[in-house]
Amino acid sequence: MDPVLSIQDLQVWYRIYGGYLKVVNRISLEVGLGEKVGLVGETGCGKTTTMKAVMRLLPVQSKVPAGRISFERQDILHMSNTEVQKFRRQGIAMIFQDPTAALNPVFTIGAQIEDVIRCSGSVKGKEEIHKAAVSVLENVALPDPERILGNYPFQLSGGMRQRICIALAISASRRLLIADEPTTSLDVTIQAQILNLIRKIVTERGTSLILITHSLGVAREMTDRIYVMYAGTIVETARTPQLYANPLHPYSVGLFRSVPRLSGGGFADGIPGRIPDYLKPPGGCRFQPRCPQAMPICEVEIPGLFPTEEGHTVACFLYQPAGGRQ
Amino acid sequence: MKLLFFILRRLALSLVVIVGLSILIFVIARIVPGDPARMALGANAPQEVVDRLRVRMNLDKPIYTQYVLWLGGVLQGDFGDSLYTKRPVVEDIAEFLPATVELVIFAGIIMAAGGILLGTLSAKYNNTWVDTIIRLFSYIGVVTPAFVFAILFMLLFGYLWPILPIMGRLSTGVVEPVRMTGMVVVDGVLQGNFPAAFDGIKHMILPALALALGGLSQEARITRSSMVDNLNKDFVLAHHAYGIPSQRILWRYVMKPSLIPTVSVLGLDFAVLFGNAFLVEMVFNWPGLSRYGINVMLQKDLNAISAVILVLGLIFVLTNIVTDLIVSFLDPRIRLGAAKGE
Repeated sequence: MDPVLSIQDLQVWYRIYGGYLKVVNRISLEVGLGEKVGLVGETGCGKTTTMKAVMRLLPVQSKVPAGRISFERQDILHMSNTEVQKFRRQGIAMIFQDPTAALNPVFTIGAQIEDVIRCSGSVKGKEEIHKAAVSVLENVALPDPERILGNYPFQLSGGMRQRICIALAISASRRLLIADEPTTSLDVTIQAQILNLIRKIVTERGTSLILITHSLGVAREMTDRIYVMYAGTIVETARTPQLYANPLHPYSVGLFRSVPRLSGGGFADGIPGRIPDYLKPPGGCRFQPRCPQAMPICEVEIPGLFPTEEGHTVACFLYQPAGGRQ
Repeated sequence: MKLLFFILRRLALSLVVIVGLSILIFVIARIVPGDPARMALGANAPQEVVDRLRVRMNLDKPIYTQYVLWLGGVLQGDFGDSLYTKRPVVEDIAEFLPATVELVIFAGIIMAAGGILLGTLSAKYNNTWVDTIIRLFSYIGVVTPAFVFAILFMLLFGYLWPILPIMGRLSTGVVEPVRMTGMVVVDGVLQGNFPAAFDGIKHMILPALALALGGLSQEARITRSSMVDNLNKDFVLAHHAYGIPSQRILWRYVMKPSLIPTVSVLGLDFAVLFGNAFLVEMVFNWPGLSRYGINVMLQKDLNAISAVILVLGLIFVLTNIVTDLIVSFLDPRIRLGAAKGE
C-alpha cells in the first residue's frame, strides 16, 4: 500500500549571515495509513524543521535545495498557495509544542475554533458551526464547552490549552496528525492524559500520526515505528519493540543511556559534546566527533542506511555488510 | 458594571489632574513678568485707569484669593472676560474650539488610517523595497515638525502647483452653512449644503495633513514593528497550519494584537495634535482655538490663557480615557484583569 506521507532526500537550509545552515540533510521517511511514527532526537536536530517543511510553514529565509515530499501522491513542495491552503485544511493537522504560544491571545477560543471550522468549509451556517465547535471540544473531553468557547486562552490551564489545540487540529477530519512535542510544556501528570487523548483520537479515526519527541518513554508507548534523528540526518529506523530491545547506532545507544532512572543511581552518562555547527558540519558522519566508536572512514564518508534485520536500518559503518558498500 | 466603575474611577482621578493643572496654569500666568492691565490698556493709559482695571480683575488681592474667586466663577461656567477680544472667554472658546476640533479630528483620521495601513504594508512586505521606502519616509515624518510640513505644503500647493486652498476654512463665494455645531463640514452635511461641506474638506486637507504626518509616521513605525513581532509568533504558524487564508491571518489575527501598542500611542499623538495645531493654525490662518491661544498668550490675557489651557487639559484627559477603553477592548488580558507579564 502507498504510504500517506513520503519524504525523499529532503534538504532544508537556513540562510544566515555568512552562509547557509544545513539543518536538514537528506532525510527520507515514510508514514503508512494509520501508522503511528515517532521522530526522536535531541533539541535542534531538525525534527521540527522537517515537519514545517511538510506543512510548507518554513520561514522565508529558508530554502529546500533538494528533496521531494508527497502526501497521498500530491507533490507538496510544488503546490500553489491555494493548493497549500486546501491541503492544510484537509490533509495534515499539526499540534504545537507550546499551547500557550499556539493560541492567539486576543481572540476567544470560540472565535478561533469556529473560524477554523468555517474555513474548512465542511459545515455551513452560524448555528451549525457553533454546534460543531461544541462537539469538537466534547471530543477532547473538555467540561462545559459552552463556557470554554467564550473564554480567552489565558483563562485556561496549560492542559486545557493543549486540549484546545488538539481540538483545533482535529476539527476537520484530516488523514495525518503531526504532534510536535505535545507534552513538553505540561506537567507530568497532565502529559499522560494528553497522550492518551491523542492516541485515542488517532486510533478511533484511523489517522496516521507523527509524534515528535525527545522522550524515549513517550515514544515507546505511542508509536509503532521510530526514526532516530541526529543533526539533520536519520541515523536509525526500526519498529518500536526492535529499537527498545536492540538499539544499534552509537547515538541511539547513548540516547538510551542518557535517560535518568527512577530507581536512582545518579544521573546517567549522557553523550559528551553537543550538536555540530550547521554552518560547517563535520565531514563524513555528523555524529562522528561525539562517537565513542568512531573509525577513520567515519570522517571521510557519509554512511548510508544499512539494513540489519527486517524493518531495522542503521546509518553507521559498524553495521556495513561485509564485502562492500551499498 | 465593571466598565462603569472603571470609567467613574478614571473620571475621579482626572478631576485631580484638572484641578492641579488649573492651579499650575493660574500661578504661572500670574508670575510671568508684565502687568496684564497695563498691556491691555496700552502704554499711554493713565495709571489710575490701569489701577481701576487691576481692582476689577482682582489683581490687587493675594494670589490664593484670586484663585478662589476665579474658581468660583469657573464652577458657574464663568471664565471671566478676555482682555483681547473684550468678550466673555466662554463665548470665544465656543466660537474657536469647533474649528480646531474639526481640523484635529480630520487629522486624527488621516493619522490613524494612514499609519496603520502603511505599517501593515511595511510588515507584510518586510525587508522588501516597499518596506524600505515606507520606513525611510516614516523616519523623515517623525523627525520633521508639523510647521515645517505646513510651510512646505503652502509653497508646493499654494504657489508652485496651486491645486488646494491654503487659507481659512471656506472659499469666498461659497454659502456658509448656518452655525450649528460650528464645524463647517458637519453643519454643511446636516443642512444639505454639500458644496460648503466639500469646500470645507478641501480647505482642511493641507493643514490636517501637515498636522498628521508626524503621528502618522510614528504609528506606521509602531504598527510595523509590533506586526513583524507578532508575525513571528507561533500562533501565526498555527493559524496557517489550520488552513486559514493568509490575508485573513494578517488583517484579523495579527492585526488585533498588533494594534494594542499602536492605539496606546495613537491616543497620546491625538492629544498632541491639539498642541501642534498652534503653529499649523497660524501658518494656514485657521480660525481655531490654538491660534486664539497664541494671541491671548502674547497679550498676557490671563482669563483666556487659563481657559484655553484648561480646555486642552480636559481634551488630553478625555482622550486618555477613551484610549484606555479601546485598548481594553482590544486586549482581553487587560479587560478581564489577567495576571501581568504574559
